[in-house]
Amino acid sequence: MTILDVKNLKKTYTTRFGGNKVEALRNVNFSVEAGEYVAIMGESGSGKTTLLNILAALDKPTSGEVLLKGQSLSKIKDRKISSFRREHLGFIFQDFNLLDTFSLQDNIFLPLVLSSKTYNEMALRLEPIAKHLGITEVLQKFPYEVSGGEKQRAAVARALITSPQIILADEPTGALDSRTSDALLRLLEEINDKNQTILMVTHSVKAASTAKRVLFIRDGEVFHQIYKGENSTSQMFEKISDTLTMLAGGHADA
Amino acid sequence: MPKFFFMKLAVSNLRKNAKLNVPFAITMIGTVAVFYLLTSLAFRPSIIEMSRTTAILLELSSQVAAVFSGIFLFYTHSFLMKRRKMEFGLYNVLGLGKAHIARIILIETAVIVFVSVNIGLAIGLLLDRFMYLLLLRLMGGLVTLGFEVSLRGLVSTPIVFTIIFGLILADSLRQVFFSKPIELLRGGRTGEKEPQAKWFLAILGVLLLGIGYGMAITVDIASAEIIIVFFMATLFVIGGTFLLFTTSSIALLKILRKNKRYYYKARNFISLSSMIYRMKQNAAGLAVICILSTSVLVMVASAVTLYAGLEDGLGRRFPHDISLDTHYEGHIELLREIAHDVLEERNLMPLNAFQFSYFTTWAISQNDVLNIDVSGDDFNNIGQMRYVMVLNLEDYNHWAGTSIELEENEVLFHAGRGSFSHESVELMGSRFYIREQVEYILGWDVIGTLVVGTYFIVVQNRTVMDSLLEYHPANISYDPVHVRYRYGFDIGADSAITLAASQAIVQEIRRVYPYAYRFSCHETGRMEETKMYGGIYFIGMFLGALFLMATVLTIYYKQIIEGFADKERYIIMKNIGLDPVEIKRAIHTQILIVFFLPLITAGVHLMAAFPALTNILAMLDLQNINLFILCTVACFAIFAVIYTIIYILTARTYYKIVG
Repeated sequence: MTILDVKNLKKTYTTRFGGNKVEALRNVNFSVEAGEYVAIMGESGSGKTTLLNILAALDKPTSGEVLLKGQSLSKIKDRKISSFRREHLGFIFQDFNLLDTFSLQDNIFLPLVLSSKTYNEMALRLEPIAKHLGITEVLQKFPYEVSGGEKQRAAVARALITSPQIILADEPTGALDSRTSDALLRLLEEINDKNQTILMVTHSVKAASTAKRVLFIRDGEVFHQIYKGENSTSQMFEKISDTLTMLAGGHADA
Repeated sequence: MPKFFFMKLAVSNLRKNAKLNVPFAITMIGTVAVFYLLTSLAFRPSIIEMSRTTAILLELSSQVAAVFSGIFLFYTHSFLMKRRKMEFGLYNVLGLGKAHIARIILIETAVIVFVSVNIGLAIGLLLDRFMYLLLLRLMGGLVTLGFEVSLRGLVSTPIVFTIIFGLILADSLRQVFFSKPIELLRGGRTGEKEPQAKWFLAILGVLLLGIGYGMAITVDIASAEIIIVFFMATLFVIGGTFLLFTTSSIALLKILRKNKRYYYKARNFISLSSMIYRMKQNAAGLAVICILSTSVLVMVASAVTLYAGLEDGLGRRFPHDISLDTHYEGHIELLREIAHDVLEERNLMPLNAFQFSYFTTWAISQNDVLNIDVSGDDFNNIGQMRYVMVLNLEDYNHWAGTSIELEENEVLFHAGRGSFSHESVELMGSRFYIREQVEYILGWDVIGTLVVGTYFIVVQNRTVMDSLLEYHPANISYDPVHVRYRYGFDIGADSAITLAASQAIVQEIRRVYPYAYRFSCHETGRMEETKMYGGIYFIGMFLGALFLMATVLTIYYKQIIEGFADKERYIIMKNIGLDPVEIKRAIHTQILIVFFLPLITAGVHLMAAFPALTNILAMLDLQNINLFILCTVACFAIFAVIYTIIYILTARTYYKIVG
């Protein structure tokens, strides 16, 4: 079943005084199946952040559309967009985006509270997730009291707790050291094994090599993709590296 | 480096940070103008001539203004620096040495000081004449012509403010020199801990406030002791307010947070948690604002009331247009003749003439004993000190139009504004039974004696009075008690004529007859009191304005600084699916609470202080409670309106920052 369908996506930015036009996304087409774990790679300026913002309904495309389970994001009314994001999408950010006014637990609860869930229901949902992520002990602590890894795991928990149709992760290992990064990537794989669809934007080869499929975008277009298939993570790592090298060299025949 | 590089950089910095610098400069200008005006007025010969007290009070106020401005400007400037640390860090990283940064700061400071001192002085000079006229008018003086420039003000203002800014500059430089670039870069972004609720302190805060309120509300003392009680109550309330804001509020919010059904509601979730966080950063500041607001309100409301109520009690303090006292009964005739002659020259007649004899003494009141064996030290225990005035029945009956009869060992008693609930009283070795507590007694006209309680005692006749005077305490340390004779009358002309006649009579008596004990004239009293209260009123308004300005700017800065911190928070909330409308609602509630909490608390403080203030004002013979209520409510309303305007402006800037 297709969860996410991106069709002919185009995004053009106009500078403030209407002078220059910048094409961030030219023509992006791809789709994500349920239970997939997709990484999108590209250099800075390739348009991947713009793409993610559009997928997250934070931004609107100039043309083309994004369908989440068949529903077009651009057709959702402004009034509903926040609750749509909250209920159907989960987010993991590079810099965690935890609120320092909330304990980890309350940070995780935030989307549920806004959807008017009762405390008991929230607690019930959190328990297995927290256990799996290994943050049960630190739930009552505040973001400034815990390590970066714990923060990111709390952020993962916040993304998971609404059982979203898709998790959008923006450079999730960007602010973590290599050991914590590895742990987080393993976690994402495990979550994916439980059939959670994940779409990750990254320029870390290592992070991307844990995904089942990697899309490369360059100059606002999906340029290439590779499937992991039966490859091991280290083989995937090499394939990605090779592709990136070729991309940098300007060849596209992998 | 190019010649004007630093100058350019400094000026562009000032412009870039206009949101922070403009209010700061406006405050500077305001404080400069206030300081100049106070100094200028304090040393104006015509004011000194009119009332030395007012001139001295003005000078004191100018000093208060200088110290206050210094502390306040220092404090607000630290906000500015906090915001700019990152900028300085960036310069440092980009290769500007600390010395260069210091130079930029120096130029910036010099520009701000130069601009605001000059504008402030210009405004001061412009308002000078107007304020002078206003003060004269309030003091009931005659308007003189001419434009005066106070050299003293012109010289001392720049000096004072340059010193203040020298200190501020030194502090800024210290911050730059003693920190590493990376620390500067991080600037204000050091993680803030969630405040701890200290239960003991939280409860203590409520207790202190309760005690303070209790003292102020229940106090019913008719003597100067009330000042001590009020002072104590004020200390309790200040301590209570501080704890209330810093811990009790947080404790309360945390109790609410513990209530899961309440807390985990979309409506309360964000507001409550941010409030806890916000209270920590703001609590101390809010407490200061609250205390400052309360003192402004108390000060201004009392000053306004005293001034407005002056006329009201004048008849009590000066029951007759003229009354003259002497120690010698036989000299009354002489006084009468002098007065009549003066009046005749002016085609006036004495009306309602009267005379009576009395004596007064200080006494310590212990239970039902009034002990006149008073030494200087006893005045420290002012709560027990009483001023006692003894009259005889014949004069009283004549005066009050009554025909009461008394036995030799009986008296009529009037406890002034206090109460005396004993059956008998011992005075100067004799015990008297109190036949009746009488309501009204001969008008008494010395404000000083209102500060301590005054007892009026009416004895059977002159014989009893004389026998009392034979009593000699063992170690009395001041003038023995003497009988005095008072002669008085009304003139019945309009105010100006009466004033001139009173002054002429007093002058003539002083010339001819040096034995007069004291004079008391209604119109002269009015004039003197107008001068005094007019000055106090003026100063109250002036300092009130200064404090208000400070209050407002503090809140403004608090919100702006928080706006920058909140901005990130709201972006996060938006990212994880919070409706901008919801966010706006949450912000709104919080700003509203943070802004109006001090004002509302100040209002409550004011209400609690009201009974005690009423008593204190009563000591200054202001007995018109309705007037006091009116003035207080009016002051609070004006204060609240200004406050609300500032709130609207601040909220607008805040929303702009948060985006």
